[in-house]
Amino acid sequence: MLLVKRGLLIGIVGWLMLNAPFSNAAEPARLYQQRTLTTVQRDVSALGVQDCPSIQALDPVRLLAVCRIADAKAAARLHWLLIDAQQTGTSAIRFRSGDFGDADYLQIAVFSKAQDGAELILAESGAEFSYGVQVYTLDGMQARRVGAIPEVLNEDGEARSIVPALRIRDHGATVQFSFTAPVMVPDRQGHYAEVAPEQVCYVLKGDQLRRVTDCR
Amino acid sequence: MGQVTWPLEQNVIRGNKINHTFGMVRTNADGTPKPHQGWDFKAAVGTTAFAIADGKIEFVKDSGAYGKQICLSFAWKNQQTLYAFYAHMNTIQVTQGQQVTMNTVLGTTGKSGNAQNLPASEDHLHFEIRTKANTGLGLADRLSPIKVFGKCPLSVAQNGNEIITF
Repeated sequence: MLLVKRGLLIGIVGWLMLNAPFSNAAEPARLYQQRTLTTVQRDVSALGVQDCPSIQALDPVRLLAVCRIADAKAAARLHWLLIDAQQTGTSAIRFRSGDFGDADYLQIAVFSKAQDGAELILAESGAEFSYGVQVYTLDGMQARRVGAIPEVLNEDGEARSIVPALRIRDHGATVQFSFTAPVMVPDRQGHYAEVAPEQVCYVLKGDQLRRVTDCR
Repeated sequence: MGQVTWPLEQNVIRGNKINHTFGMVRTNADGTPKPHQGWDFKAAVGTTAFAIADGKIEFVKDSGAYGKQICLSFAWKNQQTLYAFYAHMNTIQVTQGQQVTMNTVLGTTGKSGNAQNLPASEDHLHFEIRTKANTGLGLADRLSPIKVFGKCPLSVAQNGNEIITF
């Protein structure tokens, strides 16, 4: 009996020793990490946009700009633009997001996966508090909106950015957005409810981001 | 009987737009409604802000999206205490615990916190009426300022000399 138990124990330890290194090596590759963006000074008036409070370089070729753009039906509203730094004129704008309503600010965060370089853009808007993030996939010069994450963090009674509490992991056919801290979920009456991190996450499949309420 | 007055010499809602008043008046990128927790008064950086009532400075701080903030407690009807909250300030000339009288200069308006990248045409004082000094998120623990002032200066500026008796 003792020998059987010892054999079982050795078997378990051996399996862990064999598999753990591979699991540990694979895990970081599946996690999306936030990229550091570099602020650049660039005159983008030739692109037909004037008021851009933020222009950042994702790499030498791609710029991400946050600009206020007016259109026929509305006063200037915030958009983000993907700009080809090697082009000039309006054709340099490779993607222009929809407007961010009457938000007062818009901040861009980029996450990428070491395994294959897949990229995600999280565009966070708000005014005196965060409205949450709009999520986009980015493939070279092509961006596509896939959904929104309205959850925020409660810090000192303020609804703050969810981005520091996001863990984004590739699961093969899907990408899971989970939270590392309790989050605040807004309703449509202006109130918030706290939810434990294991009780809500988001799953990206194809080009659809879906909210899931059991993430264990 | 008590009295309140307006926080600025000239008081008009930023851009004369309803989405700078109180309630579910804002929209997000996907069209979902978002709350606005107070009134945004149009105010160029450096505009003097005044105490709206006799009261006590509950706190001053500089953090997060509100930037430089002042919270003033004052007596309201039925022995209730309300809190006037000023945000995005540039300078603050009062300190925590200080007793002030109506029209005491609190400081000057600015664009601290998340207002820092707004164009000059959108400079404003973010002003809230609270039922607690330290509130919850969204509209929690806040009232529409119209309950205190009795009217909303959406399109016509309200002179700050007006005193409202309650």
